[in-house]
Amino acid sequence: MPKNTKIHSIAVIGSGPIKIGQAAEFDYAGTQACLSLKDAGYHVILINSNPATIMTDSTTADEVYLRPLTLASVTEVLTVTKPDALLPTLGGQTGLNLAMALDQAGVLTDLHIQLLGTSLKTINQAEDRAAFKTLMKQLDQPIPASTTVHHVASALAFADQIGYPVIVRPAFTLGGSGGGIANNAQELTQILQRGLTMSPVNECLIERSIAGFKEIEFEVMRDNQGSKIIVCSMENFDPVGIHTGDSIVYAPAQTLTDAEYQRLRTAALTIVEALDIRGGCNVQLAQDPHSDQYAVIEVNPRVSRSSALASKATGYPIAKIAAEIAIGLNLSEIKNPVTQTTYAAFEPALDYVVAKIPRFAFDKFPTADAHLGTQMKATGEVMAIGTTIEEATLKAIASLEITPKVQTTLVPDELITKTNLLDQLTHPTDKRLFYLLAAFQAGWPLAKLAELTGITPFFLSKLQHIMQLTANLITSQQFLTAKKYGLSVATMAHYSQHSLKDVTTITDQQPLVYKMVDTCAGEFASATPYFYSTAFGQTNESQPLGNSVIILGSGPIRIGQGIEFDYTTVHCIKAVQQAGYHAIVVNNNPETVSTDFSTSDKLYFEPLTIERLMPIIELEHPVGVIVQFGGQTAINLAHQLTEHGVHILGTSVAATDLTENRQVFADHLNRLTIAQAAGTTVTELKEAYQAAHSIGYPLLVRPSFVLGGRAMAIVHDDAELTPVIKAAVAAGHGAPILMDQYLPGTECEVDVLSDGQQCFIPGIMEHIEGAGVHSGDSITVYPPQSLSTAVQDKIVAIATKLAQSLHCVGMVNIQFVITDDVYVIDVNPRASRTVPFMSKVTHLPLAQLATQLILGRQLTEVGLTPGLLPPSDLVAIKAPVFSFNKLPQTPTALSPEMKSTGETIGVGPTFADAWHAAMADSYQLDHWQASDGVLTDALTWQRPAVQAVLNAANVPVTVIGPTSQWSTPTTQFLGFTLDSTSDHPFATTVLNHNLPLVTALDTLKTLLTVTAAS
Amino acid sequence: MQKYLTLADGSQWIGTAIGARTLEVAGQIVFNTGMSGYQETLTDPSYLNQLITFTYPLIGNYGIDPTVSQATTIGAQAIIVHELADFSDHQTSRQSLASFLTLNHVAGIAGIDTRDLTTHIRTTGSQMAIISNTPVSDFDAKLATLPLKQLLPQPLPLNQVHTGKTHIVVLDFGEKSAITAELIKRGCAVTVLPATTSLKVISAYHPDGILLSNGPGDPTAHAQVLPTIRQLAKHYPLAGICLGHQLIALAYGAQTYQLPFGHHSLNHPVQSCVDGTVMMTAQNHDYAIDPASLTTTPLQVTYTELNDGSVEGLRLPHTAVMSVQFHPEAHPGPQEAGQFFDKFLTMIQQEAVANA
Repeated sequence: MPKNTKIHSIAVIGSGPIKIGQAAEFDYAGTQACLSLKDAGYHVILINSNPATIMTDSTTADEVYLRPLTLASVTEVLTVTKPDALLPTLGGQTGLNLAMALDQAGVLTDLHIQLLGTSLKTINQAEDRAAFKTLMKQLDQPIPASTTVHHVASALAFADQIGYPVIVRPAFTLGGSGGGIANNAQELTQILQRGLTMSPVNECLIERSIAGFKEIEFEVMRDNQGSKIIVCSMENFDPVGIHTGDSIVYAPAQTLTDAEYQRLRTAALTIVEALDIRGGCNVQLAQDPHSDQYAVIEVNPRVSRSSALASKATGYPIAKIAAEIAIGLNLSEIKNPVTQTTYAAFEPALDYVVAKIPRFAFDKFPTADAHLGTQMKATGEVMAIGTTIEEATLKAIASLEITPKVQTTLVPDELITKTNLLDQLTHPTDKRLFYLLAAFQAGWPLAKLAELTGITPFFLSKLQHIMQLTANLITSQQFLTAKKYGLSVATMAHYSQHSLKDVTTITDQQPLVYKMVDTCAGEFASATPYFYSTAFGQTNESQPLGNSVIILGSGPIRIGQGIEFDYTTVHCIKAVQQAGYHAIVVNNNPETVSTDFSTSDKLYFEPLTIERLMPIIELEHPVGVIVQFGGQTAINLAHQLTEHGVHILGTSVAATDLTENRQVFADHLNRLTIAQAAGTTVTELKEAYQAAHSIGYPLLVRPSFVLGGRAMAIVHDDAELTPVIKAAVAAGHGAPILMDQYLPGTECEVDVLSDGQQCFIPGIMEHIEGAGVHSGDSITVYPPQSLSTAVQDKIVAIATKLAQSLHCVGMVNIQFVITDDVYVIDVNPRASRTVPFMSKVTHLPLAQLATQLILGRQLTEVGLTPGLLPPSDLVAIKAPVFSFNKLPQTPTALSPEMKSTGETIGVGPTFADAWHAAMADSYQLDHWQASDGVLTDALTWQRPAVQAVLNAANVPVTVIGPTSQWSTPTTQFLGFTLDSTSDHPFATTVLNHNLPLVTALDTLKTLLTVTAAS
Repeated sequence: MQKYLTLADGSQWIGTAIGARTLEVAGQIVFNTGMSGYQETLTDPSYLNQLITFTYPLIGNYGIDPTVSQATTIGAQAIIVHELADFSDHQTSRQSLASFLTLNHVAGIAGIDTRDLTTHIRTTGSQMAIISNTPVSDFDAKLATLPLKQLLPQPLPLNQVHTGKTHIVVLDFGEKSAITAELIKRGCAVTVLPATTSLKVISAYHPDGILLSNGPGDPTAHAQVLPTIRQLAKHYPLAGICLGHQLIALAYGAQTYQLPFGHHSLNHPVQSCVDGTVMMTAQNHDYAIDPASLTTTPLQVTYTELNDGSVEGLRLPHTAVMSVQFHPEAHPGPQEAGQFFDKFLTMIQQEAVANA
């Protein structure tokens, strides 16, 4: 079928801010799809509120609306733009929900907008539990029996009927908490009583337990004439019971016989056919390891996190092909973009193993409940490709950017006792993989671990093999074997008591070779510029490109280092290409645009470690390496790269070191007569006390070289100091701890573009929340609303002086506190989190411009005038988005430790307009009015400052005492608390009821002011 | 122990012995890109005298299930793998792949960069290869010393009465047992007869339809059965799979040619000439029908391979003759092509009504 010529313009809804469960994968999918729709000649209209996305760049779509993803706002955009069609399956659950709401509100009918791709009927059938159950019955597809209950009696009767064990899932509780598996009536009664109490609607779902089944996923494509294929099968390491987003996943399926595989494949195709899917669909199934029985778990009729993983795992661009199907094409008409000679109608054949390991934020939230279950908790993930399960797994571990000691030893960095091993194995947390490895190291039998964990013994045997390799490092043959299976030099050195240098020398005999990801296992000639390394191979397929620049990506998404750094990486690639070089990317995050092989001239899907980078650099002989756009991940590698003789482009490593060495940097600022908070560095507790007393409280304490304010805290007295220093020592891995005078004042920041001589400042951003709240969690306003011209001039002058003195080439981010004077509090000589926001606001591709400077051009040559860019008439606000509802027992009060997972933008002619737009998708305050009232807890209410703010605003306040039993709030309350403990019932209840939650006084103050004024 | 893989063009790979460790073998080297079904592949008689390279790097993960072998004896000479799994815990597994190879006297070599080897075969074409215990200096001399296997002819089965069931005679050119299983699953009675059985003997079994099975090698080597095929087509609904498909084409005057490196995988897209829909199929053949040669025959193409356009299905208009190049019986591979058996049985029923 040729493409649809009846439509000319297509609207696409993005997925909005990054939240746990809905992350960068939708930027990857959305960008790919928008570009392919544009290529096909359609006028693409995009609506998304997340500025840190490539999909919202003006080059991705014809019209970009950075607007809230609410029914009212999207309706407004559609009314103005009048698209012929809407493609709703690219924006995750947010996009689907909005499409359904638009349909129900009659907007699509009124505006004559045709829906492309999979129909809403199908979406509803897949998402509505009852409708899905009915369809599965019709298709004779097995699903676990389930029912919703409101009383213990009906639950017991149902369990008797379907048999134990059963799973209890309370409705609408934080992170699904309060549920569990019951093996008998007594356990069921107990769990249910708790679950019904915790559920705000007193409802639980009772389901036959298939925990322990193998969890298998299929990514399916179906076209308009019903041809369908499996793009990729994936098998979870963890059995059913742990959310697939939190599971280690291998592709393709590893332990299914052909009979099982084909049975499940046929089931997936049958379901997709019955749903009349047009495009991509994810089908999750469970295979009983003890019989040929299986069960259907769920179907996601859209692109998803799994489809991004499947695309990267196979090379098959699911979102692109899905978009092409949506405009009427069929699989047999679409060329396979990888081979360019065969068609999209085929099933990719892999000749390697892919491992995905989720990345969690529990390193930042040590008090949060790290237990894994049916609700997703991971913020990001890494993927690795190898030729064995061991190699892929070890490469993924090397990519994780967790405690280096754990990455080296492969076991947890804590005292391992039999009791905590047993506990960790039976109650899995993010650390289970390492506890399993530790158990093998301790000699626990495989059968016992299989029994405790329910993990397929085949996978456990691979972990056992890894630990056997670490235990047998004597002969050089053993070292070579260990390298073949992916053991890092550091791990081999640790377990063999050899030096890194010796191990490197021994294992150099078995060099890494690069193999191509080609979708067809070598059956057809391909020219895909997509490679992975293996030590278990003999020929290298990657030919050096010549005249190239290597760009380091930012690795897995975690709190503190989000999608912003993929955004800047992608822009850097574009600028490198425009400057006439080949752009080569090294990264390991499967969710992102930068790891789409068509983004760069060559992609190495590899861990960002020196061991994996150096062979690439030696092969490619690049002109240089750019580290400024890959966040702290890339910056942290700069030093070692220089030591290996690699040319780092842009700001020198020496300048970077200068900014990171507390004392040297303080001296530097002194010389420049730039005001700074008094401070020093310490390495242990005794020193910390001395420093505290000489500087004076309050103090800001933080480890150096860490991300997102990890283990950062404000300390008011000696009693608070001890735990904070201990935590900082633990988080900093021996690096010095910074102790600074805490300056309460207005915080603001600038990104500076510098060619080494002259500086350009796109704008000053002012933070709503004062110093003491991490800049990533602050609401950021551009242009500044409360800073005098004199202060602004001073900021520009200091920023310029500082960047010049450091000979910065490229980007530098400088943060200030304004009190009686302008103080510099932090300098990061790299692209920052605010670059995408400022790029969107100024309509300047800042990362691209900075890349041009890095490549040697002058500021004026790239069309920039030194100094501050005059602000536009519009006001723009960047607001944080939190995922507290996915992370029970996380402290919610804003502090120097960053907590947000994403951001949204609001733009308007006035501050109030921008504020309202920004609050919709961040604090979900699109409906709240002052008259709705504020709900707070007694402790928070006791603070005079809080009472002053609330009384002044004249809003109804309900104070919840520690023992108050509150009835279900039905109105649009706003929850407000400053309780900084990690497990406080007030915040939990507010989140359980899905009410807006504000946790900083400055946020509330501004909110009340703006609301009162409008 | 080290093992050497030498190709006729002189290229060599060194790996580790698996299976019948000291056995030296020779045969045509092919690669299979399936990611599952190594046991069904290995026991498929169509791989007679071939060395099978698995492109998926881990082979043996779920052990050996005695119920899924496609034949009782193994025709393949050897398997070539990147890594052989020595651990399997699958509930259907009764032994490891390694011990299965040993017990069945099949040679093997592990630790090979199979992607490198596959790319080599793709670019230089399928050729003879030797797996040996020492490096090969004179390829042809060594080749001459290594024996070829033969498929054992099965004796004629008993002529049973099958009341109420559709009775299919399968002519066995190297049949995968899944063909019989698929027919039985659809309620048929099946009698498997040797490929060279005469029309007279076949008729004595009173079949309702004839199916020419898959089998190894060059179809032109079976010239002696072509007259029988033409006669069978006149008397019975006739179907062919893989080699059987090629033989029907030859019987009506078409020609076949050797593919550069064959089709050996589970992901070949096959497009219907009727409605353009595509389905995934399992394929295993080194020869194909020359489409140009079909113009002078009464045969019509029903399916083509989407990527290389090769002939995947034929029918003889106005008769009950149909054939496919791919493997509708799967095992291993996707199951949707199984509709071929349904079509064949429908055709038999229609014939029966027409002749009643």
